[in-house]
Amino acid sequence: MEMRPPRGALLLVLHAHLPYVRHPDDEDHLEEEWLGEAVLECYLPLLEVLERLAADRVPVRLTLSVTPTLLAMLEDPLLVSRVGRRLERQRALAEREVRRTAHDAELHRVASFYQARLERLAELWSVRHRGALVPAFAALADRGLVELIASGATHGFLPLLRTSARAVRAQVAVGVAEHVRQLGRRPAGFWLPECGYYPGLEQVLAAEGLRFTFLDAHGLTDAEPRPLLSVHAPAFTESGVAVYARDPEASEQVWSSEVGYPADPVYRDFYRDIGWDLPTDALVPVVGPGRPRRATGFKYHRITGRGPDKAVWDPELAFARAGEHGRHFVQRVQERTRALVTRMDRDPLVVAPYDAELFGHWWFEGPAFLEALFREAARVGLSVVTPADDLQAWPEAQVVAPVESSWGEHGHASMWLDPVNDWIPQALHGCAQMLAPFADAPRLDQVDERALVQAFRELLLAQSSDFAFILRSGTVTAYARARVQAHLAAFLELVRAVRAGSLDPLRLHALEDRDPVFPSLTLGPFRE
Amino acid sequence: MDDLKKLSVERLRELARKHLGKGHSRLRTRAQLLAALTGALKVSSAGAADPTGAPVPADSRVRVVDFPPGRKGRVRAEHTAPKGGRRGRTAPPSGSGSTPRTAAPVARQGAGGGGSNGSTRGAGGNGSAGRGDGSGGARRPRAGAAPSAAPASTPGPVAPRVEPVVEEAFFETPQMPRRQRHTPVPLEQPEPGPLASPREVGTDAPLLLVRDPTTLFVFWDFRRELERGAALGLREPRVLLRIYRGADLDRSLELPLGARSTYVSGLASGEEYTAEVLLLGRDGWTRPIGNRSGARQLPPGRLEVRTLRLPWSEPLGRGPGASAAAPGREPLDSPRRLTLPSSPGARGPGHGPSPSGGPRSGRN
Repeated sequence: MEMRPPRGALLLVLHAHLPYVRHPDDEDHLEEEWLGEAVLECYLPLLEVLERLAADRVPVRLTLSVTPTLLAMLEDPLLVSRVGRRLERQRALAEREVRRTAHDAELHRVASFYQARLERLAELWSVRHRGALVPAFAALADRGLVELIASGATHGFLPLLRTSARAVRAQVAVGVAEHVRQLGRRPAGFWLPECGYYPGLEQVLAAEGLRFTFLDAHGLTDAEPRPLLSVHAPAFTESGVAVYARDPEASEQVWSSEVGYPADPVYRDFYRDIGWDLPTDALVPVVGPGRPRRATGFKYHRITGRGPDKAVWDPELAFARAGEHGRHFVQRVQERTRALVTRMDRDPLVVAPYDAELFGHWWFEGPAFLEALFREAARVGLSVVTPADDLQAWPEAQVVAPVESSWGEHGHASMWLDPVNDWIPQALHGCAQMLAPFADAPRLDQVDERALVQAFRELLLAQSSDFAFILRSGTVTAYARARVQAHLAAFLELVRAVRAGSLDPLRLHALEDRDPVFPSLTLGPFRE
Repeated sequence: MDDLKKLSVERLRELARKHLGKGHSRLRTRAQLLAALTGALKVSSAGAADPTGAPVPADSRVRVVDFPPGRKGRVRAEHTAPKGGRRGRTAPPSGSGSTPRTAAPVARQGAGGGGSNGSTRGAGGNGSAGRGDGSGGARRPRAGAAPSAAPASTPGPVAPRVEPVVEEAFFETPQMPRRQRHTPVPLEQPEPGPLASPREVGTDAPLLLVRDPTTLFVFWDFRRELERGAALGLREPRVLLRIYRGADLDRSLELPLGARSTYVSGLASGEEYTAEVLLLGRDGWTRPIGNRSGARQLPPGRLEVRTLRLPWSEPLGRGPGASAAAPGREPLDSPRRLTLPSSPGARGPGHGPSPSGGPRSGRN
């Protein structure tokens, strides 16, 4: 097979994930709002950008991982209805804000911007997508704009689950199965939660028919033998799974709070919010009576600089700057790959993976950056590819053994293995040991099996890397600890009840009802 | 008493603190310490008395034995206490006559009937015992309180300073450190333990997780029968964790009995390690719990490419700072920081979560 001449390419990956948070008994649960925020600030704007690009016939090839927990929440009628309610509250707040800021031209312009934006989002949510974003993502994949890849069932950090091979296999297998069930297609690739890799994990991926995954840069550059093409080409592992490595410069350009694009002074400041600035009474329509203050999404100021004094945000200026940054990003990729193309016998790649929630939530102007990036890439002829495109074009690569790594702090596991959260992997290991003999049992009573499947579900939920992360980062630690404890307690309750023959069907039903995630779950993925 | 001369000044001070009580700090030189200790110990060895003044049977003395077989110079008490005396495994309740392992001799004097047993237990104390558990330290009387603590009826000429078995005290802490404590035992847990934890299952071996290229997290939760079997016959056991680098013992760490995990740092990146958990008795006996762990390889540390530009005309010895350093050479393409039109230090997406707490914040 004759190869075409190499050319530089960008491989852009967005990883969309939220932990499973569902509290049916609390209408205004603070942590449940993460989903509403992400839908209105990230997912809807991303869909809007991609569809606009497609309408303008701009070539788009985006690699997108959507985790099973996020897919499950996006399909949950209760949570979807609450997202809709949040949108209505936001629209009502926008109306109030337009009135409140009428005396101040600068603030009023921002309030009017929010109002118009929310009207557009409401149209997208209710009319265009009818509250169903999962089919919208699937449709993008059908149209060839997006390559959807799978991820861990509950985003378990696999290097810390490795003491139980079953637990690792289950995270991968359930993740793939849920991807197939919810998106209707087999994934070719897998996003390792937190880019957490350890030697041997590729065999688990290979067993699920997964062809590629992503590592942080040092996972590949420290591989044995050293990869000849550094992070600019994939390498094969012995199992045949290809690994792509995150490009450090591309990461820093977008992630860094010091020198990255989102730190530009004209961009909207994330922290200043009327939820903290306005009197409590004025917030009642948004946060509810007697509820603590919380961010509303109405932010009137720009980063400006260090210190608390902030200038008023100018949407026009900010979105123009996002366009500049998108073009600058493409220009840098071109410069770098142009220098590499003469030294490589394949396409030199810049692999740029990011959390999808960065664009729109943390970096409000992020979706505009993405749009400008794709438009500029099309204009200058920079190829934007997915791993499947790349591996089909260049099926030969060096064989290496990557090293244990993650994209967390210091590149390893310290974020998820620390004195504040190291009780979690210990407990998870014990639970996996408890469940193993039941999973291997040749025959189970029907109700017992239901209970054990629910126990398995609880175990998967307790494995989420997000809770350990929160405990370490010190944000909403009480919630994170309570969540892990609740899942562990439910697991133990169910397994002990099965063992003792004292299962309460009503209690089982209540637990199933509490977290109805992975409805097709069986003990199969946990079997030896 | 010739043995005293072989001891270091530090050890002599320790003995002085133990046997001379208040005022020992005034002894500055080695000669002063030797003289004072010789005098004090002669008195007690001549009497060989128990805290009540009764003679201690000769066979309750300590003798030097090889322990374990093949290792010279280790000391173990021969438990030949009179009938009825407890071979204390754990510290009995306060006032029962036996004392915690950190208790000073004077405390035993005031303790009443269990004197002989108390002397046996005292033999096992060592320099670090005071940190071993809080109860021991809490019960330890001040040296200055000794005279008033002694019963009025106590016979003997220098009752407060009587040491029941001098040699025992002398040998109780070997001069050579038996095991270096590379990792200090944490004094307090930063987080409460989990409320829900599976206790029905247990492991056969410790488990290793990689925290970073030089740190392993080792945890274990052995099956109860394994733990009980290992503890049988061991006095006041502590956990001993042995870390092997390949086939070689890399280090041993002593941990409190209830320890279930620890971080082992300062390991060599890229190397393969295993771990073994043992119980260590007060007298030095060890017994493994379960099996050795499976091997875990640490990832390699980051390699740095260093270059130096040293013009031929520059004399050596002025240090690299005298010449301009060349930019670092990196393989293929050099991903380097890019200066962007941004606000230096302004809080961006990597800075931290909002007060409402997004779960995906602050990464990378």
